[in-house]
Amino acid sequence: MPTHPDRPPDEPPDEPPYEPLSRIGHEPDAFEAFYRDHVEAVQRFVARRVDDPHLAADLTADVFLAAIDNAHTYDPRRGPVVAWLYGVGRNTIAAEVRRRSRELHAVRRISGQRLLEPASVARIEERLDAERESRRLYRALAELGEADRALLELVALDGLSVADAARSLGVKPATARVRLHRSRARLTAVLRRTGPTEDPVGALTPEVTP
Amino acid sequence: MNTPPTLDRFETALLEELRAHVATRPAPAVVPEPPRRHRRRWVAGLAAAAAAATAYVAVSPGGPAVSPAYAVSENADGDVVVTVHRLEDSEGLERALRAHGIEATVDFDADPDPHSHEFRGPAAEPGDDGAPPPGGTVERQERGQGRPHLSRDGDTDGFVTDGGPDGAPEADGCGPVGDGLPATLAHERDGWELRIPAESPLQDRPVWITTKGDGTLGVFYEGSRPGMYCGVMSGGTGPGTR
Repeated sequence: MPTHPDRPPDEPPDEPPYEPLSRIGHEPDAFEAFYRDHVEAVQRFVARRVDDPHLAADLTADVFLAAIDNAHTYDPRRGPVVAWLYGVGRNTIAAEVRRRSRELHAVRRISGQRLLEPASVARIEERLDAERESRRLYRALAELGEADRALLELVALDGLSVADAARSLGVKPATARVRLHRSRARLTAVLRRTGPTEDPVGALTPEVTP
Repeated sequence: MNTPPTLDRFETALLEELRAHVATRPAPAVVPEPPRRHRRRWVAGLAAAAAAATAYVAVSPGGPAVSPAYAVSENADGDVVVTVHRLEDSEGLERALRAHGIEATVDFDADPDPHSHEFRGPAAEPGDDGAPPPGGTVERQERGQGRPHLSRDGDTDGFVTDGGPDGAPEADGCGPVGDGLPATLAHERDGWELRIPAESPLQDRPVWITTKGDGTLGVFYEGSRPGMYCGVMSGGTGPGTR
């Protein structure tokens, strides 16, 4: 992660061409620069959560549409763009889960899977394979409360620093540390119960800030 | 950021669709966001938190005439009053406190040892230069910091402060306190009552509410010095730990 939690809040590390971020909501060129910087991260984020390539394609489109709609909410003082984008991604996927549970078939504004062709499906499937173990962790997270789960997802699954994840969720870093500790203890027990893995706890401890 | 040198056909097609979508959106009028007051931010969440608490009660496996495990209210003068009847639904209590602008971590999973003299709390993360939460580990105790020095003030509920590395109490580390204590914690027959005054430092910094095996409830916050914890604790066997 190229950012540092102690960076002065008013100095972004470098000026990307989509600064301020609200421009991606109405300037196609600014959006394209943002998209090229983040499309791989978003697809990996999705692959850590769903295992169907067509759904993954749809959700990738949904996350970017939500980013376009919500770009004006990004506040650089609350962390780097990727932390904000992961927050948008979490909300998007949560909305999809709710929609499926109600069996509502809302019409998508842009259907990602309609744009798929075989070579792209193969690339998505490669990502899905690479993130298989992450999805197991993601399912185990269902045992946690929503607030604890959100925090642990961003830190352990998506690799944000504790400080950035805390800012993304609007809680103080000290609170985040306490909750992470509590979550790790609970989750370790769940993973032990649900089956063997190489190093379940190891996956939960990358949040030592760089 | 791992930027792939080229986009595949899916990514390119998606980019084109999204560009077209962006192009149809008008530039918004710039409206500066007014400064938000901390305490007001969570008002909208209040109803949801109350609903969650109600839902919890409805499914609680307790006996007949199930009452809420806790209650949180705010007086007209801004004092927040928390009543804990049972050590249950810690996450619901966190949400209810958040609705009143208090960021709390509640952990009722007490050390099962009834003779334990320690509050169970998380240890500091390795490589974490921030202040560790209360509780602490033996290792850090040996380093002489990070663990709140907790002793009950006679039979009354008293505010205690951590000693420094030399163990000397530092009464001024828990400020700014203003007039009176940051919080009072009373042990009533049917529960604990925690009162957090409107001007209390607990209103705007993380609060830990935790228990220990003998039924003592403790409320802590980080003092002015890293590794220093201030808190209030109420002893005795609490009202139902069931």
